[in-house]
Amino acid sequence: MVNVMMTSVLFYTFLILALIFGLFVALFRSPLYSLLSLLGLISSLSVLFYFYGATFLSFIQLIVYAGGILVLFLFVIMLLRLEPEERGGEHPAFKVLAPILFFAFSAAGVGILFLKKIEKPVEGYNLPIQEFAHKLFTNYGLPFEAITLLLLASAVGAFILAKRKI
Amino acid sequence: MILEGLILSIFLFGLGCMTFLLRRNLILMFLGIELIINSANLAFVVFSANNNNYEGSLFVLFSIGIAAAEAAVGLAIFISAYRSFKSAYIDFFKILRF
Amino acid sequence: MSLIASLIIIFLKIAILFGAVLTIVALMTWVERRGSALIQDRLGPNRVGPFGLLQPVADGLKFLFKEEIIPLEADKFIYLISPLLVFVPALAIFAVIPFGTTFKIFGYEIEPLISDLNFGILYIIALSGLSVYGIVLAGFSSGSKYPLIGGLRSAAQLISYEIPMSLSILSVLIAADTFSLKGIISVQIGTSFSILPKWFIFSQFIGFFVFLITMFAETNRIPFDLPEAEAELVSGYHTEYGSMKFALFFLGEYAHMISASALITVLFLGGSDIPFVNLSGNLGAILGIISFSVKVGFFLWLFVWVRWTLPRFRYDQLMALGWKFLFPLSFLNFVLTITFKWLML
Repeated sequence: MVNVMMTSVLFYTFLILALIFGLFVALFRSPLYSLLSLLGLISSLSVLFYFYGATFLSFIQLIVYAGGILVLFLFVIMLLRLEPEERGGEHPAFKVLAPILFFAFSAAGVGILFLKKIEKPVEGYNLPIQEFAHKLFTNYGLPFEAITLLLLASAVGAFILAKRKI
Repeated sequence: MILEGLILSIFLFGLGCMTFLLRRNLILMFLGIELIINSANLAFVVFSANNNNYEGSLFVLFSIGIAAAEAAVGLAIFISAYRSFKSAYIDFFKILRF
Repeated sequence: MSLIASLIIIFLKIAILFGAVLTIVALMTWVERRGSALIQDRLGPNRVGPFGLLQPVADGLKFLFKEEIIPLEADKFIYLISPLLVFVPALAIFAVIPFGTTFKIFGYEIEPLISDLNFGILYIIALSGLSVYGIVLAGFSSGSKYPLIGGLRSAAQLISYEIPMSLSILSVLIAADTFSLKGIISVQIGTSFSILPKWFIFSQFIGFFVFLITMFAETNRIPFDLPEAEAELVSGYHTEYGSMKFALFFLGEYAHMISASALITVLFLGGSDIPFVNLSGNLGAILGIISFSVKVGFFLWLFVWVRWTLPRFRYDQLMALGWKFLFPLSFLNFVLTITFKWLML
């Protein structure tokens, strides 16, 4: 009983944290602070993944996203010493359009969710890692290989793009 | 739990789109895209938990891989554009010729 | 076991572990200075207490009484949290390390392990990935040029050495068939051909070699201490840090060393296993913890020994060693392990 309560308290804490960090990513004008908020968002999402039973994914999220991709972003921000974006340079149409779009989209999405009525609750669902791996290397072999090719191509492309003297 | 996760996913998607539209700094726009990708990942995981089916989770793995590739190429393009335009703002990239 | 009792036990375990790690860190600073003195034929600090053993206490007090200085150019928020980002992951790694076998005290079965996580190894890799942030942000937020160079160097170094590290860990995982650290230890108990213990240091010696070198790089110790090279960078990313903030970096580095030694012990030396001795019960558990400490102590001494023996690498040599030597070697080990596993099936 206490355990269930603690789990739900933790779940909602990280849900709200994720929302706050998401807002920060959108609102900060300094690239560094925006990036750090994204780091917080990714960490809270990884905790949420854990609550949804995808334990393996929650660690992969931390290792690949937080430990790899975001470090790359941080590296670029450091290398170029990017300053915060100055105010008032936005496209005037976007300035009006973007918030309207955001609110309309969110309202529509939430409305549809409430109309649809999702009944099935989670009951201790846990991602079976052996089956997961088996599925990954048999049924989803082609997408897996495609992703590896894509990564190789992007590594070579990034190298050439960043190296070329212009 | 399912509903809350999906609502969070919707909000994150909207916020990502808003960041992408409002910011002019290329890095901040990339961060908006990462936000969108993460919201999609969350939705995948939530649906896979809802249906007791791990194929959704499998797609999160692929989507993280694609995000890594996108970040590598995008940042390389950004660095090479920054070198020639000396600016991080997308307004300056009007000439698509290096 | 009731909830209250298990909560109390967990908190006690955390408190004991925290105290032990901080004590060993304090002791390590003493060992470092006395050991360097021994190697360089000097005396070292010997004034405070017997053999200078109270020197860490004096150092700690000195740090506490120093003035807090925040550089004008620094980005205050990030400048203040980055020591924590170094310190916390280094300590959090200890949560999944099993220090020995089960004790029986007052009818309670107590494991010297805070959390038996199924994905213990992934947790450790994730934390060592996150520990990059503290160093990089410290370098960036100081608003000074040498820390910036130190931060950039450390980002590149840690990311490139994480790949051989992960590959050698993966080989161990494949040989042990489990993600859990307890499982990895239980696989290594016993002897093969009744001569050698089943430790992975014998069957995975390439992996052990690579892992040991990458651990030196991950903890920023000589010969890989380019992020904090005193002679070139005025000690790198923590140049602008003073008083307790510097002490946190210091503690983080030593805690990282201890966790690295513990990790090597668990992955390659059978954890608390004593070869050819099979004891159970409380005596066995106590002897197990002693054996674990001896192994960890050996590696800690190795860190000190290497630091005062070897010179520092040049930066291009460091990158060449990581990408052209350790990466292919660990990959070769990975392929060999898979092949053997496949042949054994």
